[in-house]
Amino acid sequence: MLTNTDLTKQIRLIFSAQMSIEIPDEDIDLLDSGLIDSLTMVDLLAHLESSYGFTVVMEDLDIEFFRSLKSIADYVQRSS
Amino acid sequence: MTQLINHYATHQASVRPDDIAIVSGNQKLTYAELEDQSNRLANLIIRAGCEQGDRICLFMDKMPAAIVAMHGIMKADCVYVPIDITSPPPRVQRIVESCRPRLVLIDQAGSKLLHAVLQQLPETQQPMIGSMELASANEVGSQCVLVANDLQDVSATAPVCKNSPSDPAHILFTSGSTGIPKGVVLSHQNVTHFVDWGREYFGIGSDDKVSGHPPLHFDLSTFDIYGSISAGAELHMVPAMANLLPNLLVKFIRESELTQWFSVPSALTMLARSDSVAANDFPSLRRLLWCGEVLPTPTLIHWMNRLPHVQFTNLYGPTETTIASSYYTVPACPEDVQQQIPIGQPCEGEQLFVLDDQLRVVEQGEQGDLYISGEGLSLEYWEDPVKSKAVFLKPSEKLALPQKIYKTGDLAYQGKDGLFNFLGRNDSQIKSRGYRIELGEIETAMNAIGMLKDCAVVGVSTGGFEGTAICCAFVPGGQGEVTPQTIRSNAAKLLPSYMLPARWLTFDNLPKTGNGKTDRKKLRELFDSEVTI
Repeated sequence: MLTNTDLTKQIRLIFSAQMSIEIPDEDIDLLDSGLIDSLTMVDLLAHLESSYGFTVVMEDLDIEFFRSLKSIADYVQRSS
Repeated sequence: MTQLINHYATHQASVRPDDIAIVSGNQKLTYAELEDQSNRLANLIIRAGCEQGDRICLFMDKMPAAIVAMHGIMKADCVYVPIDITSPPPRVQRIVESCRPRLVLIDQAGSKLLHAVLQQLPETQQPMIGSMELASANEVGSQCVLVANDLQDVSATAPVCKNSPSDPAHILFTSGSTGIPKGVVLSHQNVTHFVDWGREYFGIGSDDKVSGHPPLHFDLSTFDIYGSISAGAELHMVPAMANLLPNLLVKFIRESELTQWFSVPSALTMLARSDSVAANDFPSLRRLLWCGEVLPTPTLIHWMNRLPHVQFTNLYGPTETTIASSYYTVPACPEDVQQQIPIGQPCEGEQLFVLDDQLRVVEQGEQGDLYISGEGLSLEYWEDPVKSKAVFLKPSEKLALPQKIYKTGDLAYQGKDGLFNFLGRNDSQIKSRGYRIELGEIETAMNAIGMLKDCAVVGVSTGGFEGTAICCAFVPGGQGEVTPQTIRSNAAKLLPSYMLPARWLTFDNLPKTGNGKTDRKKLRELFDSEVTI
């Protein structure tokens, strides 16, 4: 089982390699900084599904899951 | 009869002062409040020294305060220019330099961007600043000439308007092929003509709840705001976060009990893909309309199956002809996913023409260039006579039509049923995720970042969520590591996120055609075959 730190690094890599988005700082607020917007959100969900083999349940999603790399890692851990 | 856009709100304030005009989260604004606040703001704007025809930029989110600001500006006989506050400062700076505002109005969301833009402007070009809320006033400090708080100290009597219906009401800036956004100047009567027709055709009344979805710099926004206000309806602002997650958008539509949903294909496709909407969902909804780009037929079928109680209307029209020029209400759910949805028939007061390269009307069924004339035709591009002359054509020996027409750059044909059908573009403009984008503007930015020896940007149809994917072929140059990530990070300082390429190919030399030009057809084929990085 991956630790949250490992997952955070992997997700940063997904942003960089799959979506060409460089996250300058691991603690950055992804929503306030605009790094995740309506255009990238759908891509991100698709990449998380294919990378971690789970299905996103739309009704369960909360915007706070996507606030930071760490919160995304928490969400992936709970879902997969 | 309504002659100026701001007359709608004034009329509604007299007949239904206590009805809700705008809802945004917990914030509600009645028609009386909208009228009162915008009258006071107009008086403040005039007191600050603004005169008829002065431009006033809005660095604001689509919130009730922005709607008050737009009305206050028009009541002061000035022209509002909504700024895309998600765009990077250099792009916004070019717009500000072009329209030379006397005043800018800000809220907290726009104040940081304004700061960055003003730092680059020479002393002589600095506009006055007005803040629509206290928080942003504190950030701006002494440069602020008016603050929303001062509204209480000024008269609530509307100033006497000098404007006539043919005077400009607002300027909307869109992507320009040379890298400089171009401003479309729209008059009061351009807007009221469409709004009056649209309100009647869509049957919008005071019981309606209308969605306020697209941002202020999108021209569909003009219709959701004034269409709703002119009918005395409630305008429900879609919260920004609802654009990020499909389930939040669905929750918003359910809870606000929307009756008229003005949407764009990218949002409809996102919701269809995520399968977020149940059968017979949104029981209050009567009409769903979209414009901005082609809605894929499979997406339309999904929606028509899920919401059989709703009428679906496709609106078509470039910003230059005001909101929309043609419409098509889908009579029945298409059976074939290949079936194309027409852009339909002209809205009242508009004419569509399919012409050949000699400006002669082609036979019915034949492909040609689509031209539009009529009440919606904008005045011109802001201070750009060359571009204006190139696309707004006046009757001449060559043009055997009685009126001025606009060359859309779209290809179309008129079917035997009389309906018009869109076939694509005949230039390097694309539509991606609802945005109208000149590929030349992206190339200009790519060349400006100093990392590339050569580059070419092409659009490739995906048939999916993105509509058209923006693809960049590049030859690395300059110092340091050049990867799609590093190029993207640098380009993001010049371009809004919707203009950043999604696919990349690196070359030692870009492929050339026989006459030495970049072979864009070849590049599109390469990107289409998905051998990208």
